[in-house]
Amino acid sequence: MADSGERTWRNELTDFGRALTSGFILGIPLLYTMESWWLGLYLQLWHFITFFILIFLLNVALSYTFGFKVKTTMRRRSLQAVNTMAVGIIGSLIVLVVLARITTETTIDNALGMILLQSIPVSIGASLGNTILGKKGESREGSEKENKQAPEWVVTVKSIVATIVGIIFIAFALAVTIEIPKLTAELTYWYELAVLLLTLFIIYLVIYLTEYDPEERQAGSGGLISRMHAMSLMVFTVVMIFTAFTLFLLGRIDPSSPVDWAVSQTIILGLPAAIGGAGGRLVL
Amino acid sequence: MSNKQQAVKPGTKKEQRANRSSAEWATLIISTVVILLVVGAITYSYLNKRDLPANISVKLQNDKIEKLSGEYYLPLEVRNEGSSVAEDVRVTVTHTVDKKEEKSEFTIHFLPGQGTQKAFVAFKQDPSKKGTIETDIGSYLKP
Repeated sequence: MADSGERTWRNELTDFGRALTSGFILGIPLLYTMESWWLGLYLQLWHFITFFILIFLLNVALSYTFGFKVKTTMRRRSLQAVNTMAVGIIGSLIVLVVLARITTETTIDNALGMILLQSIPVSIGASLGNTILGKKGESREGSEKENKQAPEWVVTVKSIVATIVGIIFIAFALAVTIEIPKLTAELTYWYELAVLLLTLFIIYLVIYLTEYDPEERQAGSGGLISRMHAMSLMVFTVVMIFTAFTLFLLGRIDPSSPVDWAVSQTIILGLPAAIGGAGGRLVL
Repeated sequence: MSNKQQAVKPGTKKEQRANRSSAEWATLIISTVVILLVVGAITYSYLNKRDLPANISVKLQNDKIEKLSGEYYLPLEVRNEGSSVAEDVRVTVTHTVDKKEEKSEFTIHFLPGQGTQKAFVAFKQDPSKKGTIETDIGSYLKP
């Protein structure tokens, strides 16, 4: 009973982890755009209501066509729209709080505008969770078969290369924007620590969703969890190195830059870069 | 009796479905609460709807002046008491000593309703000891 209960709760949490991660993958470019923060502040009441209805309708439509749960029924699909909408709202809120766009001084109107605006891409990403991250997704089926036939070191190398491509893809796009130095100048050490922890959490979540196999664990593979920790730390290191490298390549940091300025920029760009890396990894 | 026992037998599909439902119900309740909070916030926004134009004021912090590299840095806060956003707010701070004016200007790109922006203006002489200080909001754009 306990084991069965644990399994179903785990499935549910895995589904939500999948939805949140895919939401971040789709939503992060907008979440790191200054104009979108400002646009959220302009919004009026009629915008709030329209956005709210739009998010709900989009999620209902997407839950019927894609969905983020692997095995589900039609009735559950309609309830998924409520779940993905909440994931979009919570995901947007987390990033906006961590980036200090929403603080205790923010008015409810301003916070609502920013959250609802950002919730649109994040909840769409959450609804597409099954397609982006699902183990049974058709797009992944072929490459998974290929990976099973390849030696382990080839799979590892492919995984690292894909992660690096994803990191550089997002880091290049965002490193040239004014948002990174702006956030670096504005965020305190505590906020930077929060960004760092969120980066680690997302990396760990993606590793869990892509590498974790419950059957392997039940079979008594004791090293799996420690392997996941090691893999997460390895991916985190790769993210930080290549984020710093991108910043250096684009002239955002150089050997004469103050160390804390360089480190802070790397941490702030590291969050979207890690999400890009996760996206690259999932292409495999 | 035997049927009842079968219904709660550990590991059966029915039991898994029951657990699945409890997990799903819990997440559905949390999701519904999140959405209801947003609906509540929208309702609050409607009930407290204010359409006030941008109302910008400058608050000087004379007691926190710092001398750095021969300049006196005066911290200040620019606040928008209105509910509308103000763009490109041009602020001028003038320090007058013996009829000689020293001006310091800056622009705030974006000041939301009820928002505050901290800034510093630099002067050659200590504004807290000599002369008078005047602040002026030159202009702002309505988005």
